[in-house]
Amino acid sequence: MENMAKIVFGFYTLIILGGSLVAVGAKSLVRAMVGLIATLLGVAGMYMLLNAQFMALMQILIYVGAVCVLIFFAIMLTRADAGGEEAASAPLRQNLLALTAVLSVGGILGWLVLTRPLATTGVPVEVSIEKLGLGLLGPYGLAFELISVVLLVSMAGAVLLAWERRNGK
Amino acid sequence: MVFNPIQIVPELYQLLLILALFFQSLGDGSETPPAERWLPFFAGFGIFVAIVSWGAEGLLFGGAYKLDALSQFMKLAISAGFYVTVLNASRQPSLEERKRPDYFMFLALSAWGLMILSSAVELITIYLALEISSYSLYAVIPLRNTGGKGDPRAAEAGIKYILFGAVATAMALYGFSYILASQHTSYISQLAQCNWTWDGAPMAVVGLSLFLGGMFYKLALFPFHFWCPDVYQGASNETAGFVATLPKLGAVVVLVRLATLLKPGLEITTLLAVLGALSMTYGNLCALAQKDLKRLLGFSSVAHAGYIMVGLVSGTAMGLSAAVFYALAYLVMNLLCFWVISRVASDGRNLQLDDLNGLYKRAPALAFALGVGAFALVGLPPTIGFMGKFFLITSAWDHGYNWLVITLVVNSAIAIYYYLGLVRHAYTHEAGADVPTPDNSAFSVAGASILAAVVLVLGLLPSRVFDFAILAGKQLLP
Repeated sequence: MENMAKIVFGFYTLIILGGSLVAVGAKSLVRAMVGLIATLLGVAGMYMLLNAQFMALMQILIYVGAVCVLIFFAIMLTRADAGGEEAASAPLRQNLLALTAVLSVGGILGWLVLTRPLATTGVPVEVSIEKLGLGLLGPYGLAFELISVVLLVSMAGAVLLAWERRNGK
Repeated sequence: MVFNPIQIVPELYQLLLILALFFQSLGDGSETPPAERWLPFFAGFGIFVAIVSWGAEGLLFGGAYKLDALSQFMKLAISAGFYVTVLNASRQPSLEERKRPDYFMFLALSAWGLMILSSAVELITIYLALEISSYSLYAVIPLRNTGGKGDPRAAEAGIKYILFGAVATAMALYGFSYILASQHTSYISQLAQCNWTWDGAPMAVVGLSLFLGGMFYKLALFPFHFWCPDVYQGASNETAGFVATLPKLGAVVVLVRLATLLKPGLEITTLLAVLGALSMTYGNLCALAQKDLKRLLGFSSVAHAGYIMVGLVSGTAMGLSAAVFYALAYLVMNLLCFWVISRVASDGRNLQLDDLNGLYKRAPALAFALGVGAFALVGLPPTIGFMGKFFLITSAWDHGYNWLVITLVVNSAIAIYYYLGLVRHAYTHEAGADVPTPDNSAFSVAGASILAAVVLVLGLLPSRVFDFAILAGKQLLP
């Protein structure tokens, strides 16, 4: 069973990495979105592996089902073409620097995780929805309420800024 | 425990202001008085409201929300800062008429988030409160209108702030997951009993460093400072006056709370000290070369973020009190400087150093206030800046970071050059041809004099305020 889990872990990791590479590298926005969806599905798979079915379901429902569709609508409405100014590739030097930055941070964190692993349970513990709900309304109640204010701020902010662009002819 | 609304009345009052502004922003504004007219009065009343819950103590919302001397001190400082920034922004030339209710709503929301932040003692709550405060600023920074259309510099500043902010946030959250994985709690009171040495819990150390990185971004500490001068320069003077002052208070409050986890000699403490030293040196050296006034103040914030670290590394109640007091000093000094900048640039332009030439003739009161602000930022007596630095230095000496204290003193000497450069331009140079007409109305002069008076009075008689800061520090580190 443990080998099986490792294989599945590798599979999901490949999906996540491959999807994110497509999302970052694709010329067309729609293809980039498909890459993003693959990444999000891979993350949902990771949740399944952690025995968190509810989280996996929510991940698919919210991110793939709602957020991605919303972004698709935005792409269709704004008609961003592939030949825009931002579609030109960055100079090599910039790419190399970005790669160095990622590798140095990722290298340190990877080294840390590999050499100093945390004590952990052998089999993922299932957290029931009931427990999640009690946590959100108990010790994390204030945080749960604050999230709604964060949503209000971001929506009101988006309206304020987008409104400006439409009227600013 | 019985929940008593009186304890959180400053937050509730601020929420009420937000609701009023929200409903006003929904209408077309023809039936309601303009937001910039009524809001300053209510924001000023908010300072008195904050005093009502001055001595409140307790633990609310399942232990995630703590009322103590530190939080109440900060809430009072935030309401006062909010009042001054709203008053400052009420005569903003570069803000469109119909966007005003929204603009003030976001300022109020940002201040509200900071109020929550000053009481939050649980990492996720801290993170969310900080996000409320920063999201509001993301929306406000691009609002700058020059010559009838949006200013591209402000849009650039907004985009930079959002993108870098998103990276900093992601980093903080990733670090949070490491903390949770190795210490199994997100409550600061429980984290304080955990082991934070590299040998004992390396993952927690890395996690906390990453989480602190997100706070450093807000505070503009080196190497997370790069947004600061650009954003100040791009945003309108009044908006920069908000971004430069209040969010820094929020970051300091979180850092002070997290500093209770640290003891001198820990790896993270040394990291804080090194970053502080780099930040003050880098900020001051860069500020020497600046011509734009807001960029100069931006690099000065980077340097001041480094000064605050001096109080955090000593691991004593006195050090934390000094950091809290210095945050207040920073708030008052910068509010004064940005007040003068906003009034001198009455057409909403970005001031260059040369625009200050001959200010002593054109606006003697503003020139004097600018001089007080500059002396305070240098840290010369009898201003609050001197007292703040004095407390920092005395609290940190002999706690293992003497080299950091020496760096602070050397840096104050470097900083004299450019801060007094402001005074030199205002008093000794004669005005050129294209200088802005400063606002010499009673409103402008009164505001500048009151702020300058606060800087001087708190510098001469700091004991009452400092006693309260000491109480806050002692409650955190008994």
